[in-house]
Amino acid sequence: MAKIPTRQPISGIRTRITLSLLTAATTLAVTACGGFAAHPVIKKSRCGTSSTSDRGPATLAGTTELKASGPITQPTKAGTTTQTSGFGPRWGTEHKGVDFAGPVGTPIYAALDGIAVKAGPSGEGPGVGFENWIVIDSLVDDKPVSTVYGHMFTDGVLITPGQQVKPGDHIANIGNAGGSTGPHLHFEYWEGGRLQGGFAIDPMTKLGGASSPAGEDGAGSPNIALAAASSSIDCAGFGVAGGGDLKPGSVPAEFEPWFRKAGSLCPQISSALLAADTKAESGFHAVTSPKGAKGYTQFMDPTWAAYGKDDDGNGTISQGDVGDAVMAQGRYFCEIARQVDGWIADGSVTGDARSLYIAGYNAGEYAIKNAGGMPSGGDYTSETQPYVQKVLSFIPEFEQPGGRGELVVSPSSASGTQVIEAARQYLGTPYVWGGGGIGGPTGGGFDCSGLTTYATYTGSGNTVTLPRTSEQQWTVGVEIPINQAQPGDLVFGSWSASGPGHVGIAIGNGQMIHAPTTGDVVKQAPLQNDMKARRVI
Amino acid sequence: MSNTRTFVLLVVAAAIIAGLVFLFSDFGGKHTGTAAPSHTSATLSTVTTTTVTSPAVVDVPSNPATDAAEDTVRQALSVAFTWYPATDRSPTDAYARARKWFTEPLAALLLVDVDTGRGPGTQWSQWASDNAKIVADVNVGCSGCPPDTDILIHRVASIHQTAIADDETTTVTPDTTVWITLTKHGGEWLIDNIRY
Repeated sequence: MAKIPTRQPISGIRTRITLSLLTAATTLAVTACGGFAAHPVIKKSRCGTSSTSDRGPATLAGTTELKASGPITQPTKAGTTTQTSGFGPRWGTEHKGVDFAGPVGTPIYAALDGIAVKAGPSGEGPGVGFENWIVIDSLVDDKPVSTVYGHMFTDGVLITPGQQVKPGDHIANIGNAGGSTGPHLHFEYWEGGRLQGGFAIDPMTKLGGASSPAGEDGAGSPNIALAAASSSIDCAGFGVAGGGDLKPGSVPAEFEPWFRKAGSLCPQISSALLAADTKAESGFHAVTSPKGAKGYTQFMDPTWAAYGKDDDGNGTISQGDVGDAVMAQGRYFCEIARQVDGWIADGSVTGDARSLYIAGYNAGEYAIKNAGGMPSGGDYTSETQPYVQKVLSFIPEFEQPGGRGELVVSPSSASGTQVIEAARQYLGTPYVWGGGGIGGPTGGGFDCSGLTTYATYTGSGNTVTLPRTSEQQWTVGVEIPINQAQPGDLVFGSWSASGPGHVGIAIGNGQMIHAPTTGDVVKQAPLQNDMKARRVI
Repeated sequence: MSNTRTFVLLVVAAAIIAGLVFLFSDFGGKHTGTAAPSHTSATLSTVTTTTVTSPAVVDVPSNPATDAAEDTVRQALSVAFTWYPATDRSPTDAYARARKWFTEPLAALLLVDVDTGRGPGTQWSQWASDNAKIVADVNVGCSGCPPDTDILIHRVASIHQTAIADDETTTVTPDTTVWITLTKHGGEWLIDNIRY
């Protein structure tokens, strides 16, 4: 039985070395396996991922059969919408798509053949970003392409993750959700995959001259005559619902395909959450706790009897098999999510749903039900609540940047402007003391340092993680004279003997974006008189 | 020696020491998992930029009431997050040792005999078999906390833990952050709520 490493730095080094070896080995394996594939394998470079974007057994969840798409069609019928905003710079940032304005309820059609890998909430929260989105992964000229459809209302999303679509399928209706300034479809075209680190190109370079959806002129034209060939693609979860949420190479190679697959079981439970939970449970080692929790995902025997299956097909059902353990973890988490969502819906439970799912995995789902939310008291306070905080803190380590609908910033374009843009997404979000972190709002909002933590992390292309409190953030970076503060610098005020009790983000012209105080919301405001500035990027 | 020269020498000495500390933390590699001191730089996953400048001192008079409340937080959480896994059943035992800093309602809540049925986890078990002691360093701040009143103070605490076994120290990751509410009882500040 493997031992849990307690010397974190040493184990960390060991893990890195192991990962490097696994990466090298997997790279060789993937290269070698290319010859065994029955179908063409898309080279990883076409995914736009780094050389570490390797995965485990190429025959599992990372490999998905996708039919080559036929010609692209327009996402709305001719005459039903007007193009109002093009691709490119807009309002100091980059508009990654094209806007088609039309009345709420105007049909939206799939532009390409493919698989819906996202269909529903974008994870940004009400009134933020797309709020709801659809991402369809497709093969175009043997290359991975994603098309993105945003701003629908919840009831305007007509398909589900994992569903196959073809051009002209009625997949959604135009809405005005999220950060939308009027009813419209926001449409994006990503070469290399939206969730795989690809890049957005001007959709009009593809849509120019394309036919209208079925029923309009052009129906029955080449888009009906789809290319019959199917193609395998080994591209970091491309074409797998939920599979693209996992950052390539972030987990031991033997786990990666299973996390992608288990992260596809239900929309509430992502691959990154499962990986973070496994890290907290076992550090990716098959161990048995003194209380009898077993394997990589630490199942007690009675729970294992309900959720364990021979997912890897090796003839045994074992907590010590990576595939069996991770898939059981996914099934159990999805069942917890289903129950918790029901309790939240009927009002018997309140709280942040994802935190409650994690607490349920630790304490059992009925501890959530009995407490009416996050359980507390005894070991629920001393074990379960810190467990939730730990798992949540691990998620970004495994999360593919942009796996939600949020702002995507590459490290090479990290800047103060991007920090501000990240913060602007959440203007109007409630102030919640203790709320927020690198993943966005928690507990329904942000406090001052929670907002700066999120904005700096996102605006830096996920490279800069600030400590959590304003006092600690004052110890980061270098001080800048306040009159020389540039957009994106942090500004600190409300001084006490222990340091600054408040922090915001300078946006220039004596203004900042900040989460002010209880009862207020994230907003733009003048700098406080006592403020000092620091540059952290 | 003039004051100016003394100041210059102190600055140079501080810079050298800071540089050595940085180098040691980067390459000595035994007690931290990152290249950057945890309290003086951001955690960078791909780029490491570290400042060796000291935080600027802002001259703000201390408030005795605030100081007392923050002392309570520091003392209580230092005890509550210092663990002896070889003899403690779970972290709840450490909360029991910190009971004198808790209000009665909080003590009643924290020290109730409920458990998850799964135990405190595999890392705890390993610490127990290593006979490790887990010590806590507590940093107290406000970070946007509601205004203090005469009877109610809110603070946030970051707890940095180190596992000590034999002659080896290991940083426990991640740091824990808790949001604390204190109330005044008979002239004494006590912790009334702890939220993760």
